[in-house]
Amino acid sequence: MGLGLEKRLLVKEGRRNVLYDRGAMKVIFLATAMITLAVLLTGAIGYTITKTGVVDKLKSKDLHYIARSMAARIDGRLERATETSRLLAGDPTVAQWVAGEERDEALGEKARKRLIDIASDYGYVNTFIVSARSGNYWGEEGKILETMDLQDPYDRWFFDFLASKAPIQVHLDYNKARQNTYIFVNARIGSAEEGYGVAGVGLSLEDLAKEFQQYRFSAGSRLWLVDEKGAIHLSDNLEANGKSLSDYLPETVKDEILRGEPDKAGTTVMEYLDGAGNQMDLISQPIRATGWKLVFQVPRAESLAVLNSILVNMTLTGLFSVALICIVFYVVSRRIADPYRRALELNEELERIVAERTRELSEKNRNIMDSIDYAKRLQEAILPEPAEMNDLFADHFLHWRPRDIVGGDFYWIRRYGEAEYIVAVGDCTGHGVPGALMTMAVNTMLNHIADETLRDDPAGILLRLHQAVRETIQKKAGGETRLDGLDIGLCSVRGRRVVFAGAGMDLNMTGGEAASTVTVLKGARKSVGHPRFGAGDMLENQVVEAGEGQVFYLTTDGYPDQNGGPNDYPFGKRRFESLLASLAGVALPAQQEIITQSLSDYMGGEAQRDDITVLGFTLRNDKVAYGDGGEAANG
Amino acid sequence: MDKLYIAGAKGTPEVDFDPLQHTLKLSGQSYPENAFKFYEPILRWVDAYLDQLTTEVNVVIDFSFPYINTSSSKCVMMLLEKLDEAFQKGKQLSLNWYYDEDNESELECAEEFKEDVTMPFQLIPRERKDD
Repeated sequence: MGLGLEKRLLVKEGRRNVLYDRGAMKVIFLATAMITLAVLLTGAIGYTITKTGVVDKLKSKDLHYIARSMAARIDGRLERATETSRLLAGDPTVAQWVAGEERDEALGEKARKRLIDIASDYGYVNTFIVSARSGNYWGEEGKILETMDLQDPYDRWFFDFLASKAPIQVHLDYNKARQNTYIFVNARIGSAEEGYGVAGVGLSLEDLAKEFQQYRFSAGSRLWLVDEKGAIHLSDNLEANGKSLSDYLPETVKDEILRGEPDKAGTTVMEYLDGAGNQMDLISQPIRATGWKLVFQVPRAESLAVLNSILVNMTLTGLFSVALICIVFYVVSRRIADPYRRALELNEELERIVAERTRELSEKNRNIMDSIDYAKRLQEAILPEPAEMNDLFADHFLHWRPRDIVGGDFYWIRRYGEAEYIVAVGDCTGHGVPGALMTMAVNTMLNHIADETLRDDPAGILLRLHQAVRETIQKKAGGETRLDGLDIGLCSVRGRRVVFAGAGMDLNMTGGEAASTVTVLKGARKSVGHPRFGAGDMLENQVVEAGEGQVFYLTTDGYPDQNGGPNDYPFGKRRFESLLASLAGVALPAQQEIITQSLSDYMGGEAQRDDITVLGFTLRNDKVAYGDGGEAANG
Repeated sequence: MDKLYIAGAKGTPEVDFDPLQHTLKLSGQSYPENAFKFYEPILRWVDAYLDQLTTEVNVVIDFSFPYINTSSSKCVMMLLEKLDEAFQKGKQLSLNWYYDEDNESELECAEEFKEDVTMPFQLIPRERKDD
């Protein structure tokens, strides 16, 4: 293999791999993109549905649940405290003791014990009984902590409550004596008309604040306990205590949440965008024991924090799926593409081999054709020149058409004088190269025989030729007789006298005495070279005195044997003869044209079957001069 | 011995020589590029067949050549010579040559062959398919 070829192959190799890889990568890339898109779409839809669901649930359930449970806790605490306060205030012992201006020591003992017990047993930071008569404020230790003073703003709650005639009151208050803010539940001792004093319990805000902190939903969530005006009394964030909702919410939102349309449970749910553009969910829930409301706010982003994990998980799962599917797909496509690639490679290989073989074949073919072309020159060299033929005959045409480049048909002349010569047309067994080889041999033999004095004995010439063929070409090969031979028609001409002998060939004649009919001089049936050639066969010399305008035709079997027509039959001798008859009186060049055309019309698309030779000639010294052309009917 | 069968192809006839039925059939156009090469094994087979052929057996030969070129006809001639030689030695062979009535050269060709052999030789018009 030359370097150049190797290089070309390498280039091809490279191109092929690039082609394959590009194709495979395209498919893989496309599939990956589709898979990714599908996963993304599924993920996005899933996430959206989940988000919508979560948001829905958050607004319709979770926030409500949080707010309600918070409110319920506070309500519970306050109700218990209210109940306790009511019981304490309604206790006859306490009522009598306070009504009796705390003089009855026995009652006092009991009442004070109640104070102590309630505080310690029920975990209230403080319990109290305040007498309207004496103004004494009894605390959880059963001692007087202070005396109510109408002038003291910190004591105002007591006088206000008594004046309000309400049986019970929950309020937030800073207790001066205790130095702390409490939720106090005040219950009236006595009736609305006559109040002897106030008894109740106090809850430490810190306790509740702790509770509130337990409800810390997320970092940004806020829980406020507000009164009707929006003042914050309690928050999960102690800093907010004493501030107003207005400090935390836009005014419209605050109004909405405090006075919005609540549902049956008194819950108001709304959402708004805060200054920073964060979506906030807000819910308010009334505390039944008081006029207060519990307001709970949570940033949407934080309540959807669970979605973040879902999103993260989904993304991870998605990526993992995509990666996995891609790997699987890649592997599978490689598996699929591999045989395909191998097939491509094999195909390339085969194509290369085929190309190489084709090149070799075409080279061989060219060599063979060149060789045959050269052989043609040789074969043509032994054939008479057109000038010789023109000189010999008054007029003639020669239709010589080997099936292949060279052939087994030949024509031969030997001239002895001005109007004395021998003309022959022959058809050697086979065609193509073997036929042509034989024509060369036969040509030599004829030349030798023509040197002998047989010039006016064509039959003798044929017998001599037969012997020569038997001796040279038909050498015994392994006891097997080869039957190669030739058909030949030979005319010995002297002036206007023609002597004909043929072997496997007849002499056709038109014109002369039998104007437009064909006269046939039959040659012997057996070909030269046939084992029984000349034995009892009609091998004889036939003499013709040429009439005016008589045309002689010598034809090999290629013309009549040519297949074609509607039934794919041979052209046939009869058809040929009637064609010749129809040409009587037509100039020879025109005859050749018609003869050629007739056969090609008959053949149609069929291939030439054999070598074709038709020689037509007229003798010199003819008084009839042919015109140009003439009517000819095609047979 | 084995049957000789060669499927017909473009340019070569179908060969169906059955040594059990004693029928030798050749049918189809014959114009191979190298006729001798094609007919060589047929000639060899016929040699072997005729060698073991007894005089009691009746052999039927069916030939049908719509077209036969010169070199093929030389080979068929050789084949007929072998068969005729066996006939002259007293073996029972008869030849049926089927031809197309509309194809003059076929009959002509068949008649030429007929002249060269002594065994029974029937010229039978071929049944045409389109009838």
